[in-house]
Amino acid sequence: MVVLFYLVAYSIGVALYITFLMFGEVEINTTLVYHQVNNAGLIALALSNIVILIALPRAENGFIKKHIKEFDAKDLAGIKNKTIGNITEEMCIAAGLAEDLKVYIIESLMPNAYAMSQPNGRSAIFLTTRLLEILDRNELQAVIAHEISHIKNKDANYLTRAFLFVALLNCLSGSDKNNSGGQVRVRSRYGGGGGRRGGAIPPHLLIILLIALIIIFVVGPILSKLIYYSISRKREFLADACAVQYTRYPDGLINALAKIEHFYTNESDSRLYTQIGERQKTYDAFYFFSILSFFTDKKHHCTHPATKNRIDVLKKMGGSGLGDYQDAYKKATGKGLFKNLDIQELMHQDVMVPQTSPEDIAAKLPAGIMLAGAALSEDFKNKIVNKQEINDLRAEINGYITIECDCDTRIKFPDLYKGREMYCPHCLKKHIVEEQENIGENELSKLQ
Amino acid sequence: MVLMIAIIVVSILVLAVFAGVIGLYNSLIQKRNELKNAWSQIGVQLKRRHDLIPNLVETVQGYAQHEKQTLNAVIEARQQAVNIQGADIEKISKAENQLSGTLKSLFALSESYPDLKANQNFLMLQEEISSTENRIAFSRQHYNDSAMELNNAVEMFPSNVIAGMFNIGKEKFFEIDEAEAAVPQVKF
Repeated sequence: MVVLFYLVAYSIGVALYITFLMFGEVEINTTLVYHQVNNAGLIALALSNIVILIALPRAENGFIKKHIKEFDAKDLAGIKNKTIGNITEEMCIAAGLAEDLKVYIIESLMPNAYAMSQPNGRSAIFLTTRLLEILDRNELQAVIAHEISHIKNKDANYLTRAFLFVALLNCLSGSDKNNSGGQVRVRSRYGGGGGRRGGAIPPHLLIILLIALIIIFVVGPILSKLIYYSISRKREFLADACAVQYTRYPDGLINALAKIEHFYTNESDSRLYTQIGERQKTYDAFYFFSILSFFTDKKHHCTHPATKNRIDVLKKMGGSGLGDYQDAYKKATGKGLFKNLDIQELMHQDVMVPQTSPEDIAAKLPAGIMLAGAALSEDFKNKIVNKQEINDLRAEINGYITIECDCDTRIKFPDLYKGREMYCPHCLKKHIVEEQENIGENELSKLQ
Repeated sequence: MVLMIAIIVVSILVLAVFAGVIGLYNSLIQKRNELKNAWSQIGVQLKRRHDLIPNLVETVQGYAQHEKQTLNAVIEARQQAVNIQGADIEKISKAENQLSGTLKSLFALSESYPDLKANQNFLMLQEEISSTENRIAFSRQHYNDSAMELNNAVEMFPSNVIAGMFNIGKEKFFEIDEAEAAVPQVKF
């Protein structure tokens, strides 16, 4: 739909422009990057926009490499824990993604994630280390599903082209920060207003042309920006909906959004906020969470919907298909969502709890074990308590015999020692190694 | 003149309808092929599980076995040390008791938390088994999603005409039987 709008507006603009040139002398002076450009320059600018659009796919094919170099992103090769790779593979299967998808990690103190897709079929997801520390497996899976739906819907490419359009209009009208503004002077070869002298432009036609000119050069920049932000917000909702469709587990995405929002509002260092660089503003539409919304009160200038709205819609979902998301959106905001996007079938599907997750298997562990950082943090494997439990698990699987001593020590012997007389290492009491019944929880293991 | 315009308009209309039919037919074919792809993807994941898990379990067990021998040796050594001391314990004075007791608990402490690598292997095995099952589940889910898309296209208005013309039929969803729907018991 918006592509259509773009093409129509563009062609109207070009047609009007040519009409001006044919029927009158229109001089449009704008200060573009410190030098004056006349009609010829404007034609060149318009043509170069077309050329950019045609050449953009080739340029886009190098974006991921540029990003990797710029942010010093590392791929998963150095990480021993296979969780992230497994999660991504699972989501690719669920989404039916045929593309070559790689995951890269960026060192950063701010949790965020974004995805890029290239026309040549390669795509990449970038995650920050802070994100991996904060989220657990289900939430990380929801974030990755969100990014994969961005790749599947080719949102990065779409938004880049929309951004080019915005840039062109802003450049022409001079509402950029680099320009000091523009003046539009319309001079008719046959005199303005006045009487007709053989071939003059009728004054009402001139006024109509002038109004059209104002629409393009004055309203255009503002409107195009608003449209860009609105597209970005709609696409974020769509990505949320698709993410839930892939994971079939809305709670994962709800928890991820809540955790990250909590981080940005409570825990993050305010010094990190003092300056938003230009780069952050440019790429803000692609991030999973946008912090620009903290800096402006105008909702319509944000690339992401308010997190509260996203969570509201997700909470009201009765199923996990796109149709369920649409119904929930209507319940939450009273408006329709997917009217002008390309979704032909709205699906209704059931919610499923994750089939097997480490949390389910390890449900016996005391609370606080799988707190955070299950994916990456180093101290996870050094937690003695968890190690102890895994030791116990290993002992049980291998058929070790557990003996409980009076000093509250549990001693595990391999079955080689069955029937032998052994000493407790702490209190030196003698035990005969044989199966004991009713070993319950003792004080020591409760402490652990 | 009017005839020419009429011919042009009618031919444009016919071309438009033709293009529409082509578009609908192609999208139906795309959906059907995506469904076939999703079906074979399930087989891919099942084969992966069939090939991977037994090898992983064997590796982990082999390593645990090797470590079991190490652990046995350590326990033997400790018990020998305790045996040597045990005979004299009733006779030795309090101070020596305390000293040997401390030594033994130090020994026991370092033995209780040895830096065994089998832990990491078990954690990895747990993750890999879990992920394999997840992948199989997600591939079935994707098959169901593709089947639903195809069924939608075959049953909804403009494309059901085309589907009827070219005999593209509805597809079944993935079903499980009663036994598989039962809750598994986790017992150690």
